[in-house]
Amino acid sequence: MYSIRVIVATAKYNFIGFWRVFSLSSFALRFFMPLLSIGTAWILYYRVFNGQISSEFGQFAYTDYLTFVILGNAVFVYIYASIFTTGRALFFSRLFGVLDCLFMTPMPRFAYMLGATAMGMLNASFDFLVLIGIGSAFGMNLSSINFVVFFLGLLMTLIALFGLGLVVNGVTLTLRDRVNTSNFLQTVLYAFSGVVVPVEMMPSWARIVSMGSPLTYGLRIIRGSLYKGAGISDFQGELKVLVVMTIILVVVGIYFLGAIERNLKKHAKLAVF
Amino acid sequence: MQCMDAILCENLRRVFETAKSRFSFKKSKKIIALDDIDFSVKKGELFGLLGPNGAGKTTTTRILCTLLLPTSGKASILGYDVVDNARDVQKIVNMVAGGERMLYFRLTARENLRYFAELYNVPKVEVDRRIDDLLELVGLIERQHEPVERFSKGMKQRLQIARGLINDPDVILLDEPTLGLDVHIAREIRRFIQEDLVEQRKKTVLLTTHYLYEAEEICHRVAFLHKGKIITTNTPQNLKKQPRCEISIEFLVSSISTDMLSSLDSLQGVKSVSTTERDETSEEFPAERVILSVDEEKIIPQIMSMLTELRIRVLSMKVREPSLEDIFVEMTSGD
Amino acid sequence: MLPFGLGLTYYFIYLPFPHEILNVQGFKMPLLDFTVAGQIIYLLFVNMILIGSYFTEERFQGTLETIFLTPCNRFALLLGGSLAGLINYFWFILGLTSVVFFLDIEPKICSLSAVFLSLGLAVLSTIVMGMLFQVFFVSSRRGNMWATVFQEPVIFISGIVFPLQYAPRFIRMLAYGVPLSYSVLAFRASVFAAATVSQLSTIFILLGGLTISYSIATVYCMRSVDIKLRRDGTLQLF
Repeated sequence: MYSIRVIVATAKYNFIGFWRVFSLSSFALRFFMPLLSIGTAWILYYRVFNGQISSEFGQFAYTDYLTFVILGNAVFVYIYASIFTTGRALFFSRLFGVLDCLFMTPMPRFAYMLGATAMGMLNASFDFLVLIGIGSAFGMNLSSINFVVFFLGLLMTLIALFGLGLVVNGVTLTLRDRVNTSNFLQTVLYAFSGVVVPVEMMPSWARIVSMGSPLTYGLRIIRGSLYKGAGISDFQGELKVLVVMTIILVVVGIYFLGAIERNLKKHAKLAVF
Repeated sequence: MQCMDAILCENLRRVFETAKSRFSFKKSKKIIALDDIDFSVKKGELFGLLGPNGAGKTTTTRILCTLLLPTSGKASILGYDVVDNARDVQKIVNMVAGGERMLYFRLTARENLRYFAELYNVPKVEVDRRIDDLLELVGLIERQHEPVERFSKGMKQRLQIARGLINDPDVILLDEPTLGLDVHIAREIRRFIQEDLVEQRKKTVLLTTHYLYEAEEICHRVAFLHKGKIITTNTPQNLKKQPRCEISIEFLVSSISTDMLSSLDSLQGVKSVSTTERDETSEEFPAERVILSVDEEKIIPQIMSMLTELRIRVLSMKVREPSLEDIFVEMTSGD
Repeated sequence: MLPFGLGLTYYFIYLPFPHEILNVQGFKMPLLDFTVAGQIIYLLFVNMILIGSYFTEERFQGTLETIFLTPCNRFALLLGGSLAGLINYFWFILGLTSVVFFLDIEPKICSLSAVFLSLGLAVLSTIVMGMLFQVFFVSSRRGNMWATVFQEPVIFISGIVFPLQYAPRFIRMLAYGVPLSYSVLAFRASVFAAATVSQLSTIFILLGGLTISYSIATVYCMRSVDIKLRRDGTLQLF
C-alpha cells in the first residue's frame, strides 16, 4: 500500500508540475522528430521514388511502407518517455534541489521511479494517439489489427523501456549528464530499432546493434499485429527475448538505484549537480 | 529498543577527498571534516552544535539524517544505526536546512506538504489536518495555494520547517534554520523551536548554527565543533563559569584618580582595571569610563562600597557577561 | 554520436528504395555521396546550434546576470561562443573523413575554389544562424530545448534528407529563407558533382546575401532582447 501511495503521489505531482509550467518546447520536441520522420517517408515514397519500393521490404515489414514508418515513429515516443523522463528523474530532482529530501524519506525508491515514469508514459500515450491520428491522415492502414497481440507487444515493450529508463537514470545521475546520454541513446535506438526500415534490410553490423534494443522486438510484435491471421504464437521468439531483456534491465536498474544512492551518500554528491 | 539517548555519535569520522582532475598529476587531497567526534543528545533536549563555517556541523547533520555515510564510527537515532537501519531512521527523523532548496518550486505550499506526507506514509485520515496545523503554525495558511517559486526566502524557510515536521518526527535536525532570515522571522523561529517543538511537543532537536547567540538563547546544552573536533560539551551557563571567562563591569564615573584605580585593582576578585578617555559628550559633564574584569558578579557590592568610600560619583553601570562567542573564541584561539 | 546516429538514420531511410543516382536540383550523384555530404553540413549546423548555446549555458549556470552587467559587446560574446562550436566541429570532420575512406565514396571535384567557397560560406552562415537562435532563445528558460526543437524542421526543409525539388511547394518556399538549403546544395554539387564556381554563383550570391541579412537581424534582435530581459526581470531565472 505504501508503494502504491508513493507511485500515485509521484505520478500526480509530477503531472501537476509538468502541466503547470507547460513546456511548449518539450511538447514540440516530442512531436517534431516523429512527425518530420513521417513527412520525410511520405516525400521519399510518393515524390522521390514514385511509390517504388524494394521487394525485400514486403517480406520483412508486415505492412505497407507508410504504415510501417508511422507505426514505428508512434511507438518511438515511448523511448522519449523512458530515456528522457525516467532516465533523468533523479537527475532533475538533484538539479532542482529536492534529491536530498527525497532520499531522506523511507519511501521505496522503485515505487518513486514507477511514479515518475507513469507521468512520462501518460504523456507518451497521448503523443502516440495523436501520431496514429495524424498517420491515418497520411494513409496508415490499421484495418486488420489483432488487439491482443498489439496490446501484449506494447505492454511488454513499455516494461522493457521502463527497465532501460532505470539503467539510464543511474548513468545520468552518476555522470551528472543532462542531455548527452539521453540524446545518444535516443539516436542509437531510433537508428537501429527498425523504426524507419526493417532491421533485416540493414547492414549486418547494424543488425547486431539492433539485437540489443528492446524496441526491435516490440516493434516486430506490434507491426505483426496488423498482419492478418498473426497470433501470439507467431511471435514466441520475440516475446521470449523481450521478457529476458525486461528482467535483465529491471533487475540491473533496481540494483543501480540502490548502488547509486549509496555511492552518492558515500561521496557526498547528493547536492552536487 | 530501549535507550536514553535520542542521538548518539561514537568516534564518528568523515573524510572527504577533493576531486582530482583527469589530466592533473597532483594527488587528491583528504579533508577530515569530522575527526572521531563523540556526543550524545538526550530525549527531549534542545542541543546546539556550534562552530564556524567549515567546522563540520552540516556534515554531522547529514550523517544523522542518512544523507551521508560516515567514513568510520557509529551514529544512531533512538537506537537505530544510521547506516544499517537507515529506513528506520528515516521514519523518525527529519531535517530542515537553511537555503531555498528541498522544495518543489512549481507546486504550491499545500501540494508540497501533501506530497511529502504521502512519501512519509502519514496516515491518510491525518494528512489534511496535519497540513492545516503546520501551515497555521508557520504562518502560511493564507498563501497555501501559491506556487513556492513566488515565495520570499523567509516564506520558503518557514515552509521548509513545515516540511520538516510533516512526518511528526521524534528527532528534528535543524541545520542553520535562520540563515539569511530577517530579525523578526529568526526570532519567531527560535521561539517556535524552544516553546512549540521542545517544550510542548517534547521533540528532540539538534540545532546547528554559527550564530552563537542563538544557541545561547535557547539550547539546553551545546557542543563546540572546531575543525572537525568537539572541543567541549556543556550547558551555556556552565560554559560561562569557566575560569577563562570574565565578566566585565563598566562604570561611567565623574572622575577617578590613579590611586583610586589602584585601590579598585587591589580588591580580591578583580582581575584587571582599565579606563578609557574622558567622555566629552556626556550630557552633565565629561565622564570617565572604568572597566573592571571580574570572575563573579557577587563582587559587585564590594566594588560599589569601595566606590562610595572613595567618593566616586557613579553615573551608570553596565554588567557584561561573557557570551558563548567570547568563550568559543577564547577556546579556539591559538589554533 | 548524436550527429552520426542521425546521419545513419537518414541513410537507413533510403534502404527500402531502389538505389539510383539521385537528381539533386540539377546535379546528379549516388545516394551514398548525397547522404555523406548532407551529413557533413548537418554536423556543422548541429554544432553551431547546440555547442554555441552560450547564453543558455550562462543562464543555466546562473551567470547570465553577471554577463549582462558588463559593458562588453553582446555580439562579440555570441561570436565567441559560436566559434567554440566551430573548433569542436573540425574534430567531427576529421572523424567523418576517416570513415569516408572505408566506404566506397569517390569525390568528383572540378574546382577547389568552389569547395572552399561553399564550405566557408556554410560555416559563416551557420554561425550567424546559431547566433540568431541564441538571441531568440536567451529570453527563454528553455533555450537548449528550443534549439533542439528547431533543429529538426530546419534540417527537414533544407534538403539535407531528400532533394528539395521533390518537396511540396510550401516547404520549398520556406527553404528559400534558410541558408542551410543553399550551403548543402553548394557543398554537395562542388564535392560530388564536379560543379564549378560559375555554376554555383547564383547560390553563392544568395547565400552571402542571406548571411548578411541574418547578421543584421541578429544585431538588432540582440539589442531588443537585452532591453526585454531587463524589463521582464528574468535574467536570474533558469
